Amino acid sequence: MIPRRAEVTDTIRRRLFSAMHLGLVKQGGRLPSVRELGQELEVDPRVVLAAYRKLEAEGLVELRQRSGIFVAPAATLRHSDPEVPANWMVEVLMQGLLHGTPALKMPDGLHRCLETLRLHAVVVECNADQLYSVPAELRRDYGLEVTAVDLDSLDRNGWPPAAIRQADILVTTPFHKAQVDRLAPDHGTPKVVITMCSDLFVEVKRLLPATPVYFVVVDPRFAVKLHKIFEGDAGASNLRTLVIGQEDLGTIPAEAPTYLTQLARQRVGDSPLLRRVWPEVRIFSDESARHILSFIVRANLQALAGMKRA
Amino acid sequence: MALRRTQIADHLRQRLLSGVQLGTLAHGKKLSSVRELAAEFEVDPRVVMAAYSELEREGLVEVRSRSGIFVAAADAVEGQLQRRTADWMVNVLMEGLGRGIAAREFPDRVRQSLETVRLRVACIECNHDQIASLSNELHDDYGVDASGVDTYTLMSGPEPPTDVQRADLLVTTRFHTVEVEPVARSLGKPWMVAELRVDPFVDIARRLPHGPVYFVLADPRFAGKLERIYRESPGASNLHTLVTGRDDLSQIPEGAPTYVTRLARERLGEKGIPRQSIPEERTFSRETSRQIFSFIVRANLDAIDRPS
Repeated sequence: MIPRRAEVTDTIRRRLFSAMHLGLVKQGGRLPSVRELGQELEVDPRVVLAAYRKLEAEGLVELRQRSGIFVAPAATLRHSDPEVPANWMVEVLMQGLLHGTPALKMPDGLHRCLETLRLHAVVVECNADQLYSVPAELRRDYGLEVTAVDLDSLDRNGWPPAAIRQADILVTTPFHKAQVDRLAPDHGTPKVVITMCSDLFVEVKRLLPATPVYFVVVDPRFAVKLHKIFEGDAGASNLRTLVIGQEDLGTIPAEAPTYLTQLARQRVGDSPLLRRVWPEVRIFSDESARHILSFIVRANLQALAGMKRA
Repeated sequence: MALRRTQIADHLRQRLLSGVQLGTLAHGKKLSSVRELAAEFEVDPRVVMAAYSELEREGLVEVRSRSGIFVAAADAVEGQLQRRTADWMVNVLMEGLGRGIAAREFPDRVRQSLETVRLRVACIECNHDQIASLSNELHDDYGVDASGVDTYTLMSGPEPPTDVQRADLLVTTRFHTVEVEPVARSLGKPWMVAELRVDPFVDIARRLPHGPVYFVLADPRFAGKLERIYRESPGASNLHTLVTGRDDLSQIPEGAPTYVTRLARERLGEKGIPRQSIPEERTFSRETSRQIFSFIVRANLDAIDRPS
């Protein structure tokens, strides 16, 4: 099937973001030409051009006549300061009206669907890096209360802490689903297995055969996990993990693609590394985001219906 | 163009769910028959039946052969309402995330797009009934400050009334574009014609040849307007306009199609409204809704961007 313009746009946007996180591009840096990308993605160059135009409208790239395509000097990742496109907001309000919600009741209606209940999530993971980033996103984007539980601490005690028993929702990653199932046998607590936005891993897999890729982490256990993730991929030996406090970050070559976990960013202090790579904010896949939102909205609506009946 | 099944199903679903939400439709209540709706939408009865079947599959109505179509049991409809709301909310919040807006920030972003500036809209019409319909809907559904302006005062003074001068937007109906356009131009103000979703005027014209149609209203000028509009229509003598506080509403025969304006409803109170009155729906067409929202959202987003 021939990819449509929207798909090409999404691909380029995601790739651009991944490249920013890895420090491969800078503001003002040159991006692949329309012709090059057309060949690589096997689409008509006009489709690529249209996609770039869309990204230009989003303020991410600049099309300079005759000289090429560049990262916009003022480009920021969409997460940092999103603009609300008027057309989209109009559609949101139209849908609200069709669902019987007058415009002025929309903000409160949405708010009640999210925060009637104070929902408590417990994140179960095996390393400090993910026990930092997953709860951070759950708090910041979804407004959940979160307790982070280290799997290793569970193994020592042999019994799930009270937090797990009191959780409204248990969150983990695919690696630990079986363990979480064992820990919290069926007493009705919903479980969500978070998958990470795969763009970065796709990009890393693309790079590994050609060049070393550096991951800076805080917890050695995450370093081990990363090696497992890329085990067997072409160029797996090119994956370099550095643990802060154990390894010298100065050994990372100036232009090498480098990824810092969110916790690593907190710990690394004033490193030139931070100026090279872009802050990364959102890590959940769309599917996972939808799972969590469905859980939150349904729980709140049910509570609201119960309050109405009472 | 004839409406298709999905459009009719959408329309009926919308009518039913908003009826239940607003309390005008109770569970177990009998709904309009296939034949009535076929006449209303001017489609083949089989198309209406297919639309009702779709609603039956969704658990919203019960089709009982030989006796009619009824609103389904409370739980089913409530559950359906809740599921629909949940699906819709999740989709909207996902779209927000895709645009970089955290779910918990989303309500505030919507609020900012609506309430950063308080917009004033002047509703211009020639009678209190239509002025009230326009301004109530604009206020209740769109949250703007709506004031009513009589076309008479628009034309009579040396300059337009203060409400028009202060308005951010002028809204009128297709009957008064001639008066409103020049005023809007001279003041350099945006203006728009509000179109109605199910135009009662078209609806009435369709019913008149078949029997008497009653119209309960508050402003005698609206009665005069209606009579002028239908003077040439077939069955014009079937139109009966009744003014609240002046005419006796008990003369309306049982079962006769009866329209009651928003203002007349207010004046009559819940008990005084004739039982067989045709339910009032959200009146603006989708296109008009979209235009109003565009105006509001753009004005608000501009105000946010503009450093104060």
